[in-house]
Parts: sequence; C-alpha cells; structure tokens
Amino acid sequence: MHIRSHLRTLALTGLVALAALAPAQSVLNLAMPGSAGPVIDPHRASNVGQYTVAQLMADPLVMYEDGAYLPALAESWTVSDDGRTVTFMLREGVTYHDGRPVDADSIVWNVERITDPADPLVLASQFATLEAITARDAYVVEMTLSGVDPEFLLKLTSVGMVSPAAGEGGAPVGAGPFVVQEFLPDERMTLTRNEAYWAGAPALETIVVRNIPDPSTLVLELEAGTVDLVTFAPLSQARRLEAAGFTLATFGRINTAVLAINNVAVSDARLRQAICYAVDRDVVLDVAYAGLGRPQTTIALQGSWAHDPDVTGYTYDAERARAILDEAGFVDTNGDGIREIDGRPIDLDFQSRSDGEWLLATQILQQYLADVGIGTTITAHDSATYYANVRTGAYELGWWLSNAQPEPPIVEYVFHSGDFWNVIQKHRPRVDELVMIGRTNADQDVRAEAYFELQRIFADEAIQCPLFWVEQAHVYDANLQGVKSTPRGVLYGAHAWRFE
Amino acid sequence: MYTYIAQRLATAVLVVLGVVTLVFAALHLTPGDPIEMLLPADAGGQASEAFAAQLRARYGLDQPLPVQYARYLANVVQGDLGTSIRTNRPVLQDLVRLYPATFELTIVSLIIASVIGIAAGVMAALHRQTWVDGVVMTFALLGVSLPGFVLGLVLMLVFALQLGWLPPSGRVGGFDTVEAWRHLILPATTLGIAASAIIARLVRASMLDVLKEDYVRTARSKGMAERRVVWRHAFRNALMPIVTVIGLEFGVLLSGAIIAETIFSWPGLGRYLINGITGSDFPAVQGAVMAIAVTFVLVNLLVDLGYTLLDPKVRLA
Repeated sequence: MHIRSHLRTLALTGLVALAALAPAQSVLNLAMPGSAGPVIDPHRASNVGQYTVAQLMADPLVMYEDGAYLPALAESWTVSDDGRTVTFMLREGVTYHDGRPVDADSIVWNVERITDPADPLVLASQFATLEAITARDAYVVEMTLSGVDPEFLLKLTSVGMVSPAAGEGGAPVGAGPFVVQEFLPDERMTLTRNEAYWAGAPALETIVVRNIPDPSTLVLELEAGTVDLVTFAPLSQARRLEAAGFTLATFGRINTAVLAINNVAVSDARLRQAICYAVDRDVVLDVAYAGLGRPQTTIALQGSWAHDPDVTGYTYDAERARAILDEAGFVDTNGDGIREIDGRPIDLDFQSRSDGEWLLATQILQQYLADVGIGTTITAHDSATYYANVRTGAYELGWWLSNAQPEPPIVEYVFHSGDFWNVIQKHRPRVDELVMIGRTNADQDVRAEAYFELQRIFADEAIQCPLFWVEQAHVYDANLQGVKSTPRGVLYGAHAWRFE
Repeated sequence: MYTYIAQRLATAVLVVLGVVTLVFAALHLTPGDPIEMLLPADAGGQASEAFAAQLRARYGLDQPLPVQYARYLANVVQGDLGTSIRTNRPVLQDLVRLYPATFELTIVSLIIASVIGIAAGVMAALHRQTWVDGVVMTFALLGVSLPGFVLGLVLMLVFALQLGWLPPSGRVGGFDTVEAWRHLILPATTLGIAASAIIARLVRASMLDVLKEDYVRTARSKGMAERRVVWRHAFRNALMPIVTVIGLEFGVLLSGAIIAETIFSWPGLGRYLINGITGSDFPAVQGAVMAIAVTFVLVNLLVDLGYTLLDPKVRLA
C-alpha cells in the first residue's frame, strides 16, 4: 500500500513536470564541461564557458560578429587619428539589474575595479595598453592607450560591465539579457529574463546553467533530454550526436594545434624540418579530432590578410623528411630503425597532456616520427604540470593547442621571447621585432608585411610545425534557434535564443 | 572511557597533521603552477609575466616553501584554511557548503552497502556451497572488480537514458523531497555496490566461523527456532569484524566519492578535490584532504566506541 502510494506520487510528479514542459519550451538547460563551473562575477570569468555565462548577465561595451564590431552598451565610438584615443558614446536609459544607470562613471568604475593593482583580476590583461580612462560626460567615456593597439576593441568584447554596487559588497549584477536568480557554486546557476533588456525582452524565460565535468555524462544528459545545450561538446561524440539529430554548431580556429619544438633543445634546423615533413596532418585531425578543423601549413590563417601566399610551409612528405635527415648525416647505423646523431640514437622527450584528445594525437605523431627514424619518448602529465614544463622549456617536443583570437589571423602571441607562453624558448631578435610591429602598428599593410616575413622565418627555420586549426563544437537541441558563437566559442545574443 | 577518547583525539590530531604535511609536500614538490592555470592562454604579451608575479605574491606563492608551510599551519590552527585560488572563496566556506553533499552520498551508500552486503553474506553462509552461495559470491567478485566509473555509466545508461526513471546526474540536496532522492539513488548505488561486495564476503566468512561454534550447536540442540539461532546467536557474534570493516569502508566510500561525484556531477568534496588537483589549487586540495581525513578518523573512533555496545567483554581504558 505504502509503496503503491509512493509510486503514485512519483508518477504524478512526473506528469506535472511533463505538463509544465508541454507548451513551447521556455527553459533552457545549458551544460558546461570541464572542471570550472560558472562564476557569479563576470569580471572573474577566465575560460570560454565562463565567458558565455558572463555574457548572459553582463553586456560589454561592444560586440564582435563576422569581422565587424557591433554596438552594445556603447551606441557608437570614435577612434582618434593617432589611434590612441577611443571615445565611447553610451546608450542612454539602460540600467543594470539593480536599477542603477549604465553611465560613464560606472564604466570607469568597472575598468578601475579590473585593473586595481592591489587586487588585479584576470581580465586586467585586456587593459595592458590602457593608460587612462575618464568620464567626459554623463554618457561619454574616453580611453587613452599607451600606443596603438589594433585589437583593443576585441579585448573589450570580453569585458561585461557590472553595477558599481558590487564595490559596496553587493553581488555583481550586469545589464545583460538575463538576471541571476540563484547561484550555487559548482552546482547550478539559474537566470531569468531581463524584461527591460535594451534590445528587447528575451524569448526564453529561464536559463539553468550546470557544470558537468564528465564528458560521458554530458552526452548522456543531452540524449536523455535533461540538458538542451552543451558548450564544447566532446569531439569524439560530436559526429554521432549530429547523426542523432542534434545541431552541431562548429566554430572555427578557437585552437591552433602545433607540434611545439623547444628550439634550444632541438637546435638543429634540419632535424626540425624533417619533423615538420614527417607528420600527416589529415590523419591526426581525422582520428583525434573527428575531422573538425582544417590543415594549417603556416602560422597565419590561409586566405587572410596576414597570410603570405608565397610561403607554402610544410605538408606531409615522409620521403623528403628522410632525405633531409640522410643529407644531414643522421642515419641509422645499427639497424634498429632509429637514426643516430653523433653515435647516439635520437630520443626526443615528447610531452603531452594526459586528457582528452591530447594523448591520442601525441601517439599518432610519435608513429609518424618513428616512421622516418626519429625516436621519441612520450611522457603524459596533468595539465598543470604539462603547461609548466612547456612554458619553462623542460621539454623537447610537445603537442600544443593555443587559443587564437579572431584578430590578427595569425598565431603570434607565443613567439616573442618576452611572452609568458613563449614555448619555442629561443630568443630571435628579428622575430621579436616583427611581432612587435604587428602588435603596435595601426597600418594593416605594414602589419601584413611584418607577418609575411615572420612566416618566411618560421618556414625556413621550422621553428615549430603548424598542423591544423582545430574547430570546436557546441551541440544542442534541434529546436533551439538563434544561438550564436564567437570564433572563440563564447555564446552570445541570448535575448534572441528560442525554442521552436 | 573518557581518557580513551581524549587519547584517541590526540592521535587524531597527529594523523591529520601528518596528512596535511604529506599533501603539502606532494603538492609543492611536484611541478605545476596554479597561477598559470588562471591566466588565459591568449593573454599574451609581457603583461602576463608581471601579472603572474602579482598574483603569486597575493597568494603567498612567492615565499620559500618552509615559510609557506609555517604560515599555512599557523592559519589552519586559527581556523583559516586559506583562499581557493580557483574559486577565490575562503576554502573553509567552500568545504562547509560542499560537505553535506558528500556526507549524504556517503551515508546513503553505506546504508545500501550494509543492507545488501549483510543480507547477501548471511544468505551465502547459510547456503554454503549451494547455488545460492555461488551466485552471491560471483556477484560479490564482480562488485569488487568493476570500476566505479564503469558501473556508474552503465546504471546511468539503463535507468536514466533507456528507462528514463531517474535523472542522469546532478544534485537537488536534502532528504525531504522526491527529487532529492531520485538524484541520490544512482550515485549512492554505484558507490554502495562495490562496498557491499566487500561486506558480503566478510559477513559470509565471519558467519561461517561463528556457525561452527559450540554455542550455536547448543542453541540448536535446545530446539531454538533457526531464525533465532542465526540472528540472535550467530549474527550478533559475527558482527565485530563486520562493524570494523564497515568503519573502514566509510573511508573507502569517501575516496570512491571522488569518482562518483565527477561522473554524477555531484557537487561535493570529491569533485572539489579533483578540480583542485587539476588546477593546482593548493589551499583547496589541502582543505578537502583535511576534511576527509578528519571524517575518517572520527568515524573510526565511533566504530571503536561501538565495540563496547556490541561486546561487553571489550572495555576501553
């Protein structure tokens, strides 16, 4: 009797839940993978998933879409002739979720909060070139830069503005399309629509964000219908989910995959060239990354303004790799299949992260290298150890993925000898010079020329082997419409998301 | 009795201190920099280097190791477990928030493990060397050898995806709603099954020993009902080693929770620990390990005290 009444309660609860869902769905269940769940403070977001959640609650000054900047909290902006002063005209009448106006003073407060030397936030790196910020008028903000920074606006797209109430001990609230209703760290965040959103009230009523660390669970939740949208879906499952009727939204060149080479440890350019010819990019891409991406032969994006069409770069050519090694005198004298240099077999320390597709890709590469007689020993690490080793040069080869910004369309931020992530280790003054020209010049032709030369140096010296641009995928319910993703994978425009 | 408790508590402090020291050493002597994990990989430029140094100073990571260790201990004694580098919240606050989740998962799985384990073990012992024994022991062997993440995914596949009876993952919290229990069943069963297998094997062995005892034969020859013989005389006497192992299993379950919580998106200490380890979040890892160590020590103290209730011959001095 007891059991029966419990069963009845259970069944009724189920029916009630079903009935609530029956009309056009207005609740979106969004799941983020990985170990980091959503954060309540948009200024403390530090990965792409957290940026997505930050964009739900807090709007930036400007947005970026298809190569152009769109107004958000700033209705318009002007850049001075010398490129060092950017003036933003704010949209009037917009308020944060706590009712305070989005005015010039509040923007200044936001930037000062992020760059406070006593408590610097991760986002402070976006303002590295900012020299001064002033409120010129109630709705006019002026930012002065220390030099020309062609990507300054792009950097601003990831800075959601919050109400100054956060400085008075309140929870940070933005002026975005959704308002935080409940936040249980590491558990879930519930957001409801902001009826007063400047671009119109959102179509969805509620968004529930959950962090699901296990990739298998993530896929299962999606298939069970308890999750509608998965950001950064596991690539190994992406094609299967697509075949099962889910929408697979790939977004490009979030990561560039390279075979990183420690140029100090592997100092012979001929050995590096052979390495770059020895690997079949298509196979690694297909096997480890579900074919989501495109081969990359130079450090610039093919077809973009930064790409030098005369630089062919490296493609798979095992014969050529063998010829280079033979010519250099690196031959196999003892018949074990591995070549020797000065009587010692080549045995490069090949490091990888132990998770996801990383190790698989590394193992495939190892086979290709062995095929031309280059011996390697793989060591797999947790991500923290791996990054520390590669960054400090405690490695010889490494399977390396870098996040790329859409602009400039070239991987350049890991090559300057002063860069935090200077994985190539070796200091080349001309490379540093060219990178700085690209970073600080306003003239795109001058920048392109510098980047062209950079590509030639990289190709000649085989400083590292570009392999492919990796695409990532969001997977979601086929009925969900209007979801947009930046090239880095941040979802935006949530006010227009809807179920059909 | 009270002297005994005091002694045990003093030992507990030493055990926890030992654990903290080991974890501190393990974390700081292995490579991996928590600050690097915080920096966006595309931040680029020289700005990052200065910024990293700033952050390092803020978390005291620029100090020599002995200084960091001494500072940490001094803070712990004052109840300050530091600030999590990943969440930027006080670790103690995180632990207090997450502890109930792990505790409810562990307790419920311990109950599941004990009920299944004891029932299966007693049954196997009573039907020794029959097909019942064979089936029970085969399942016990499977339960012990099946990794938690495989079992968890299989249960999820069947009960959440195929049958749709239970939610795949996540937590509602508390014991007072149907939804909370529906979320709890799968992770607790996953954890409980492995532990029940160990308990079943032990109960079987212990029962077989006791059933051979003279007093059992005496009870039977008095014409006492078999059920009474089994539960009053045999089982009660077989309980001592079982209670010990259930206490130890609590620790196993706590560590098993690390995997179960990851698979079932259960926001507890285990997941906090894993996230801490992958992000080199030293204060978080230390805090979580300490919380687990303290729990384990206390539970085993309770088990030892429980002996006096079970067996009047045991006197704690």
